[in-house]
Amino acid sequence: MAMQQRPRRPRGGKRNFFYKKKKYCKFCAGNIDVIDYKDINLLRNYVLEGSMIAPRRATGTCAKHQRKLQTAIKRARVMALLPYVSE
Amino acid sequence: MSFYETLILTVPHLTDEEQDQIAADYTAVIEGQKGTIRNVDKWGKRVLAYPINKINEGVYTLIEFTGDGKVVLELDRKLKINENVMRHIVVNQDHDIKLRERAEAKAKKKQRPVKVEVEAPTVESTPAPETKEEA
Repeated sequence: MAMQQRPRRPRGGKRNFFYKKKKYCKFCAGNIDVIDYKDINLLRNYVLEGSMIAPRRATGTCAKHQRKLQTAIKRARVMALLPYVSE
Repeated sequence: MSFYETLILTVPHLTDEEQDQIAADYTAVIEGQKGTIRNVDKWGKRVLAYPINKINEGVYTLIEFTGDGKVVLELDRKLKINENVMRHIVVNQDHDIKLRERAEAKAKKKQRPVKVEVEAPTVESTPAPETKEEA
């Protein structure tokens, strides 16, 4: 009985906490095969605070593109376009 | 013969003429090894992501060229010698160019069927009023 007395949630009001938006590889979706180490603005999206390379589980990037991202970020770091560490 | 590009990071306290001279020196090295230069892009002065030898700025120049492996060896050797060059990188672009061409070809193939779809609804819309008149 207690269950029935509980007020109903208005439709479309609260967000469902158990629903997660599915992550997808943005490079596959955008049909981007080449990741350039000179494109710093793109690479910055895939670097965490403290400038660690973001893991796949955080960004949803596929394995193939993560490998390319990794080399691009590392090349950018050598050329002082991206930091190795940041405070 | 392959496609390559080099990004050279030089010390910021040189004059513009000296910076140009450095770029000219390396283009000469490439041409000396029977390579051909496709493009020279001067990015100019930029703040570095981290200080190198207590220097916070640097001047970037990008040189795109074609040539053999010999060109890369010689270029790399000379870049290492120069004290005004803080960092440098030489990247082979053959695979990237192939992938870009493939992507462009794919995009072209996708564009074609879209045009057919656009034409189709205009044909359908014109006979619609006729049916109304009959009724």
